[in-house]
Amino acid sequence: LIKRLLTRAVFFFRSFILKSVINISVGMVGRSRFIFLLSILFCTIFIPLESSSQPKNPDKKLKDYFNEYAKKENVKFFFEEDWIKDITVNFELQSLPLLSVLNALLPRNHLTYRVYNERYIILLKDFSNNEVENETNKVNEETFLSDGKTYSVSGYVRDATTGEGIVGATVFINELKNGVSTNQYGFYSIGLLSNIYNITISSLGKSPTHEKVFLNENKTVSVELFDGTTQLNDVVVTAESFDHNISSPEMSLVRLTSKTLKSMPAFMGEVDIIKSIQLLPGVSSVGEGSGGFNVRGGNVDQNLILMDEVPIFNSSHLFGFFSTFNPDMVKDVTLHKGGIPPQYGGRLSSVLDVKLKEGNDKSFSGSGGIGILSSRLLIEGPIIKNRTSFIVAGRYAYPDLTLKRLKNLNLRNSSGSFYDLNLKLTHRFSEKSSIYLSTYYSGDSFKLASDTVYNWKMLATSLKWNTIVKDKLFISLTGTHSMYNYGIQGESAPNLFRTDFDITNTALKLDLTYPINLNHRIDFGGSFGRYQINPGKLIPELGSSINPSAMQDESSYESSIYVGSESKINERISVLAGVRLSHYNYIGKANLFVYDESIPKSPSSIIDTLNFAQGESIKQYTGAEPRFSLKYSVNATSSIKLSYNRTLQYVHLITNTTAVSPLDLWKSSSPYLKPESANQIAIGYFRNLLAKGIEASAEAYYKEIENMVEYKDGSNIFLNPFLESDLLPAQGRNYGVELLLRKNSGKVTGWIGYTYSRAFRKVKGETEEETINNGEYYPSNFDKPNDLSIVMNYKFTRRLSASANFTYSTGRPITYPQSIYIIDGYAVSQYSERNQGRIPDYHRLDVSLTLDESLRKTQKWKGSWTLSIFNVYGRKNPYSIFFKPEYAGRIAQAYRLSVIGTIFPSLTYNFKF
Amino acid sequence: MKSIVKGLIISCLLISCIDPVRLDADGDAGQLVVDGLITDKEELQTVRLSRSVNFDNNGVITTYTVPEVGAVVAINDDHGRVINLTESSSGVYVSQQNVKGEVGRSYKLSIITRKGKEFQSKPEKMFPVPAIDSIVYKYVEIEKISKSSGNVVKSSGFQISVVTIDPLNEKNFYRWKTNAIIEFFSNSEAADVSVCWYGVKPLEFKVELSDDRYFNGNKLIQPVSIAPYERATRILINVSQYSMTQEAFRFWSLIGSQQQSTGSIFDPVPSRINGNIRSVDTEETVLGYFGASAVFEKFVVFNRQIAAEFSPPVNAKPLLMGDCRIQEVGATNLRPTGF
Repeated sequence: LIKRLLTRAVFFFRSFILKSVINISVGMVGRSRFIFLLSILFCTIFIPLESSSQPKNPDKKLKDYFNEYAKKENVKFFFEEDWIKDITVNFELQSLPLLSVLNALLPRNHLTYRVYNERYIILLKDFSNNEVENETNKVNEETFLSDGKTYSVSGYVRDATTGEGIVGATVFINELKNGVSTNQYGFYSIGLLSNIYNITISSLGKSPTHEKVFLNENKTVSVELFDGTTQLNDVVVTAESFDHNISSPEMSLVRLTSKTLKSMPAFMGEVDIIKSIQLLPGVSSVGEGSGGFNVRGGNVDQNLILMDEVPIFNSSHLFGFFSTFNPDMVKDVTLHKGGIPPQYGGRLSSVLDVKLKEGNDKSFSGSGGIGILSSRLLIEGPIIKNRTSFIVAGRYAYPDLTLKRLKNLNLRNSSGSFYDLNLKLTHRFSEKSSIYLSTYYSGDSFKLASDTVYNWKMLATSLKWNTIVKDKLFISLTGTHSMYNYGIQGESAPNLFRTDFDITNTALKLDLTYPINLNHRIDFGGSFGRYQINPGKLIPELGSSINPSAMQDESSYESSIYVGSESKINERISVLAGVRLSHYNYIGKANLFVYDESIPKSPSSIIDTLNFAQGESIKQYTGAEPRFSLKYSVNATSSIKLSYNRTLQYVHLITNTTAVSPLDLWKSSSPYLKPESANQIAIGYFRNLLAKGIEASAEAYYKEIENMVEYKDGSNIFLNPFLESDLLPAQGRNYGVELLLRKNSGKVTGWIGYTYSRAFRKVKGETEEETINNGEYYPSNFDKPNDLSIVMNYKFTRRLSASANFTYSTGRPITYPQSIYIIDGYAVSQYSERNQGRIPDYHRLDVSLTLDESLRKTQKWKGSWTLSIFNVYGRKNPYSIFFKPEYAGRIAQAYRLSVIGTIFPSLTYNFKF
Repeated sequence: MKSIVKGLIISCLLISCIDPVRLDADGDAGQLVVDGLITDKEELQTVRLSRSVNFDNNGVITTYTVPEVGAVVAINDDHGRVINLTESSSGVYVSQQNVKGEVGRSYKLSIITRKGKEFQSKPEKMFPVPAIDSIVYKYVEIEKISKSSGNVVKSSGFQISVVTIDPLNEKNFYRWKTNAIIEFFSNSEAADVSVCWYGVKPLEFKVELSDDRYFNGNKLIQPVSIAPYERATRILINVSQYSMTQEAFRFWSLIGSQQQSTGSIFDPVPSRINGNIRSVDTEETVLGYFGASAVFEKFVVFNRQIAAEFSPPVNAKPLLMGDCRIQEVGATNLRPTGF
């Protein structure tokens, strides 16, 4: 047994050292470490602990403490018994998290530790501290003289395995008990008074690194972090009382790493970002199969969805069954539900910022998956080692295989597929300057029943240049281009036709970050972009008797400037304050109908038509969007936050269906369609439960929206040249309370979220025709007051893990059949006022089980099987209740439609190489 | 253009399922319902008045007509002409003799109920209707899912379409109604009861409408119905083409889309269907519509066996023995016009 364990120890040690070699070749720090590691490898005998019981004693030998811990937590310790025979853990220490204990005891005994593969803790002799380096340090420390000036410490924090920048890593100045986080590229910058500082750099799921800086000039400290144990690591972070969620003034924000996303049960065998975020408090949707999501009572089009900073206009494939994002490509997802920072604008309700991975600039690797509905493959590697890298990923879905087996005739005659491709190139000119090119292309084609083909295509490209001026000013210049084209093709003879819709956005963006000192940072910048919208064209095929027809194209410019500052006023109070000024210019060429203002707009109330030339301004709007948040730390583990933000939106998605459909169209703000605006205030209490690594938060918000777009009953939005006469401005009133308990580490990870929220609409025009539900507030389509989500992941062993999620929500509001009458022989139903009924409550449980094939380190190929079961107890959650006459139209019947009213299992094989 | 609508209406995504449910009725039943139309055809002009009933689908076949009796009903045109209607049976009000409306006139319906409440329609203009150029038919095989067994049931039939030349200089709104007379034989010794005919009215329960938004000035080929092919005999197809106002078109479009509703996420959100009748002095809601239409009728008779190029009917009805008049509802041995 001992021999086997030894072999294993050597195995992981060897790969550890290989990684260290890479580390050292880049970093400056560790030559001596390399030598000592080698010496350890050859001289040390590791003794895995066997269990033994000891009588209870207030003070424990460290060895016994390890022993007990190992039994409790499924962790193994490796060390030279000799090293720790004199160390005892006193009673007070025993109640602290493991790593706090290690941090407290090991340094003074000239020891350090490494955590490897989430379960192995290796004790090492800390030569660096007391021998070679220590001596030079001593000399330095003695001779170091502070000149009283402020210098900057800046640099990148990168992943040691892939070279990718780490977002939100903590750079903590031990002396000041204060720190900063890295930005979205892994860059940080701090202004500090000249002195000697010990800096701890840590990130969730990584082993922390400590650096000593003698600050008498601007210094660059870039580090690479190794994978560590999630379970222990973030305890360290909290123990050092610097944790983003309680110390930053940002609120109403959730960050999900690709690791979290991957541990959730996958529907149809694939991790889905959009479905995952729907499990967060404050995020809902109208139902299964509906694309998009609703944040705090906002419509689907009010979410700014960014893929590597490119705004995208459709977040789903195959009508919401897959998300646009290839899960293998996703590095990190941040959702802002409120307190939106001033650099974001153009949409009212949320920002979903999806960062894609950068290619591995050290070695080639790949990953992928094979499932019953879709497969995917990703390959990444260096082009020039440590400088230039590429990553390319593709996905293809083939639901036909499943569709052909279904009973439903319409479905059996349906067919479809989608594919998407990601390519990203990264090049580092120097430590301070890099360039990124990220591009995405996707195509969907879906044929419903036999005669209509839906198509949509998307292209999203960004080119970004990051540089640092004078070691302090971080500059990011980004050009983005996003195109979304969709339409249908009608195949039923004799009238063949197709329709075509487009929306294109091209923009240039400049963002600058300037840290004045540790306590003040300024962000500023601006953007300029152009929208081009084709709100619908009808194109007859040869021989069809349909006339071609088209809505006029719409062009506009949207520009903005912003400034924001984050300031730590004192130990307790931090403030983030900023403002964004935006300007919108709707330009020709266009014809504009002038309506008689004394009567409701209709085609017959048009009194004049104005013609605007190419480029001529038709209507301009300017607005200020203040953003403000404040944090007050109650104590080291809890804080209260307050935020206010105003947002403006100039382009609108027009829809008259319950969910967003492929025939909805985008419209520019115009003299008739005013910009939408939202004002939101939120207050929250945030607390970290130290010992268990649990984050808890409670937030309450109130949000008012003006000029949302509603439609008149029975209006036609397709190719309607008088569309503005069918649209009505709506007011929205949304409020709610969101509770979240999240555990990011340990054997059990996941969250419990509960939301109580309401989302109301009000349409009160001057006449009855322009009024909905008598001008009173009515619930929106996705007003679901109670919403509970539980997401749990449990690691049984290193190879086997299981996850489950459960969601419960109040049924959504519907308009339901109330009474019945006969017209011309047809049974017709009189419906209730809009959204006055509700479908039964929704609840669903999904589970998944993942089994890793092999864990041998030498094997490059790593495979895993994931079995996921969607809707485990097969509940037929109703989506809608509708009326349909039966028996030749004479008998009225009510039906309930459930989109996925059955158990849906799927099996996927995922691999990495 | 129909396929756009159809595409939107197709309910099922990948794995949806539809079940009947029982609804608790808490409706606003008892609203006055007006079902009236004046045409340019010389006939008894008819208006039906009834009251709506609570939505109740407890599985028992119920009658939805609560007739509104004892009302005073009249149609007025914009030249002061009055057509008084009298109640011929409960809730059915007809003109005293055959009369016709005139293209270009506007018509208004006025009602005074037995309780003395007064209602009026908005004036409806009667627009001219283009002539049907021809009626065409095409053999089709149809697959349907049987409601009872869930199996695929195949049948055969004929896609009936009308061909109309749409006038270029006017906005046209169309509605079509299709009836049929089907010929069938019986293995009877008596020659006079071995061949019979029965009427199917309407051929399909489906609201067929179109406007000329996409076809203005073109030859319009509009599928209107599917005729059955259950016997290898002749059939008469009669199509009526109605003109209507834009408001009437909107009303019937909503009725049509409600009939085809599937509850799916791409269905337009169901809404109330407002008609053109208002209470004179209260806010009371009145359902239904009073319309004015010019009508053009055309029929065609064809031998289904020949039209199907001698393919036999799928799921053919068997040839029975005896008097053919008792083999189908409403069957007669009096040869109708056209046969």
